[in-house]
Amino acid sequence: MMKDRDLVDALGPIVRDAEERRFEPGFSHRVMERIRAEAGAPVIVLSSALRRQFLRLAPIAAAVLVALSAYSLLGLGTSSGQSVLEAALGLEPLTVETAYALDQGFYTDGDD
Amino acid sequence: MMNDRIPDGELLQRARSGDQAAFRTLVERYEQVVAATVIGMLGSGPEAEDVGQETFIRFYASLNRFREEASLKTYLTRIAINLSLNSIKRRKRFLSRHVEGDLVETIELDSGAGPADRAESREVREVVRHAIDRLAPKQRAVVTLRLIDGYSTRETAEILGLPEGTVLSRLSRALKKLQPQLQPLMEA
Repeated sequence: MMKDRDLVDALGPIVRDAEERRFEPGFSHRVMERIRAEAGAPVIVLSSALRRQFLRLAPIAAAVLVALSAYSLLGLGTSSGQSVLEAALGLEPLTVETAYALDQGFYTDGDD
Repeated sequence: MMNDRIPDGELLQRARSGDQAAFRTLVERYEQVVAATVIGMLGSGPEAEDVGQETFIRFYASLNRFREEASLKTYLTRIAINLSLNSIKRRKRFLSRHVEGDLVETIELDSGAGPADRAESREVREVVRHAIDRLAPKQRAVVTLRLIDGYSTRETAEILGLPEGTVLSRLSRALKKLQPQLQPLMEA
């Protein structure tokens, strides 16, 4: 049984010399072409375009969010035991009656 | 062509400041190192060419992160090995999805075929390629680095980010698989 070191010595040249390991001529040229192409790739243009659009739309979206929250707060108020957050999100107050009402609605829509 | 005697460090500095001719000189200087690794892993053909190009493109993108603690040769070999392993995974996934089981092995063996050579050397190449392609990808990486690229066990461990003991055990298992297949060539 050959030792690993002997096997490396015996198989190394066979494996190493079995095929020519070089790229087709002009490899460096093709690499540089791809680098130039990828430097001007649309991914970069797209990311900066998306960033511009985000910066344009973000303040408008934030203003709409504030307006809707204010509308909900003014419309529903917090008098019925709701927290300010629930009121701002326009959530209906949850009581035992409303919970049962939802449950009944579920069963009455079923096969019964 | 830029002077071959310019040290890597200086070429790297120039490449970092946008000198494409300097980067091209580095590509020309290390093209053979990368070719030995990717063709050792994948066989010659368009897949190896693509992985070779991708290796240098990744290197270009990480020029500012390369700290020169490792040698450039080791750094590029590490990228080339990782991309080759990814490519083998993709190849296997594609074949398992789109090709009937019995044909998978045949196609894997054929994928490394290059231009026609003399019949004898072609036969040797195919036997060796066949034997390497039958190794698990992790064993193939060790065989490529140790037997083809000529790295030491310590360097191989450093490139693969493994303990030396793991490299030795993978190499040992790989050699045991290769030996019976390459025995006729050892006796020739």
